[in-house]
Amino acid sequence: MLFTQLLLNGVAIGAVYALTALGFVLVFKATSVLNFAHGAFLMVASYLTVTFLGVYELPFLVGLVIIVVLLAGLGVVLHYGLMRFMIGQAFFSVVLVTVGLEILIRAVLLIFYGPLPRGRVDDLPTGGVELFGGVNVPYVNMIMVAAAAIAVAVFLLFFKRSRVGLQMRAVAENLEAAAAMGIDPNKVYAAAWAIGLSLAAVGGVLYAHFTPAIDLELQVIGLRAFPAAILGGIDSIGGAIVGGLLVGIVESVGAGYLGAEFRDVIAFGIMFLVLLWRPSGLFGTRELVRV
Amino acid sequence: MSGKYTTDYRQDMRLLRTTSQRAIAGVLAVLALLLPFALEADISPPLDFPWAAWFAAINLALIASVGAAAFNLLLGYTHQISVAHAAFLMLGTVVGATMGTLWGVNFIVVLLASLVAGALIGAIVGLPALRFRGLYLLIATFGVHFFFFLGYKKFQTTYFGFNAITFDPPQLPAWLHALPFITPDDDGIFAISGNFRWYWVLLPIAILSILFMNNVIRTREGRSFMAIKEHDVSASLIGINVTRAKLLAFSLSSAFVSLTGVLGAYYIGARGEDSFPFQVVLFYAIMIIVGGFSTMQGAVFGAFFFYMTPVFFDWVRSDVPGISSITLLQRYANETNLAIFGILIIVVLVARPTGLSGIWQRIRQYFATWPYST
Repeated sequence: MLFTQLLLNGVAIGAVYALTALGFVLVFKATSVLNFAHGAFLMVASYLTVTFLGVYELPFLVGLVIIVVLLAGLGVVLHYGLMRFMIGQAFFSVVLVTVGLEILIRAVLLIFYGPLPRGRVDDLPTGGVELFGGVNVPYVNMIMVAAAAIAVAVFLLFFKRSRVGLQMRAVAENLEAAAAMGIDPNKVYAAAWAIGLSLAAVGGVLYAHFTPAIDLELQVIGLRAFPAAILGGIDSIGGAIVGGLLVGIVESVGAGYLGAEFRDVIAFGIMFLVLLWRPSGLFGTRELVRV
Repeated sequence: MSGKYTTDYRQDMRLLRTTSQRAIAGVLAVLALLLPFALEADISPPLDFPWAAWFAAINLALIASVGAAAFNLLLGYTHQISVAHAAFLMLGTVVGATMGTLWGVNFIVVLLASLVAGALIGAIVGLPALRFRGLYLLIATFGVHFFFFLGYKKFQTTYFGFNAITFDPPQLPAWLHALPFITPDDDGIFAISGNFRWYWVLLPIAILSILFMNNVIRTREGRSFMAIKEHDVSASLIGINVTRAKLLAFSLSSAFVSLTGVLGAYYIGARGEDSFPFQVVLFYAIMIIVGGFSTMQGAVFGAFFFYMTPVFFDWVRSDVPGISSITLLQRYANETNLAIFGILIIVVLVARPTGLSGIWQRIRQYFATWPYST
């Protein structure tokens, strides 16, 4: 029964990974920025959860909406205030700007919240359901999966049906043609940052109810988004979701049997194996080599 | 641009080609020789300028400049985006701990062994580069980092317990005591400890390593690295053995990173598992990008920038009048250092994506083309 238990835990944490990887892939696909600060934004959302849900004791949904709106706003500000100037610069310079951003975020969180870890936020119903054979599924895990599913569904609906979603796909397909059709790339980029950060916000709020302690180690989740996104294929939206779930499940099951210190190695190991088989990830665009 | 043109091949192959380059090199050499004596002298500059604190920062920067140059060789010149950098720092540390601390082998042998170990294992870690490219390689080497990290933790807990791996200061063999300037301590041992003695060990190692890498770049192998950077498929069509060149780049770079690991471990004296978080890779990336991508001087600039700015911040925060009275800055000393550092990286990269060495080139160009400079 241990296996079923680990599997179900893995699905719950995998849902958060999927959300994180999705936001990461979206920003990368739209703006070609490999965002090293993505985990830091998730961490910001978790700390804001401590403030809004833990200290001010707002209802869960109200707090969630506030945090999502705050981070979406931060995304827009980030694009117009900073990332706009980096368009067209060398790939690595842009990556390092996000590293600088991550350092800055960590410093600001340290100033406001201090180095001591905060306890788990218990705004969601505690306890759980006892399944067959002693397998226990906490309510929090169920809510995590459900909320992640809703967030992904809303995002996909937006991406496929709305006007802005269409513009995003157009810009990702061909920037010049899209610009010639009257689409403002800056608006699309800002929208991508806003959506990417809101997905991280949902993940952060959920994770704050799941993790035993909220501290600066939390950005490890952002690191897990890398294998998840690569496993699925860095430019594939669906791949990010599948990759996130897969990494969550494999990591949870593997760590359950081998020990917690193998967590990172397992997450990257499974990705490595998939890459050996398909060098562009499961659903990524295959790179054509032309001379 | 300087108006100096070469007329034969030997002039072209000189390291220092112009008078101004020779002048700068000479000034730098004199400065490098005088610096440790100035730092050792008991000077107390006005405003409590942290005179002694610079010495440790400079030594650390010397160590890091080797690692940064090696990173640049792989990332800047060959464009193999590998983030397994800290993995080789750990490898060097483990080699040093096994041979130096456990077996008691001589320091110089340990240094050579770390180079060999880095080169061999680097070639193995480079194997994925034959199949993956760009981002996929980046993330695959991320896995290498965590794999090494796990191994490092196991090694440390098996042989050194949970705290840290410790290193004794290396000792010079007795037959070298006859050399000038070497006076053994009271117990008849000449141990390399303290910033002054370390400086004289680290400076030649750093200069030799960086010169070696710089010369590799100028050879046939170096040109094949750069051909791969531009486009590896085209490189294979003009007859470059891509497999060989990629593995060689990985091997060379890893050897020197491993050397950096050993030097850092011996200099600092204790290395725990928290000495090698994954951010270490990003710090080295900051050094080579802020310093200047694809230039050896950029790696050196970057390493010095990285270690000396925090010392400078500390001084500004605590001793400059006006700033020292802001309580917020005093209460959150480390945090504000971190924040300012983050902002500084962003500002440098947004304003000058070519980094500090780009700024240096512009200044030089300004004077070289004066009075027609733009």
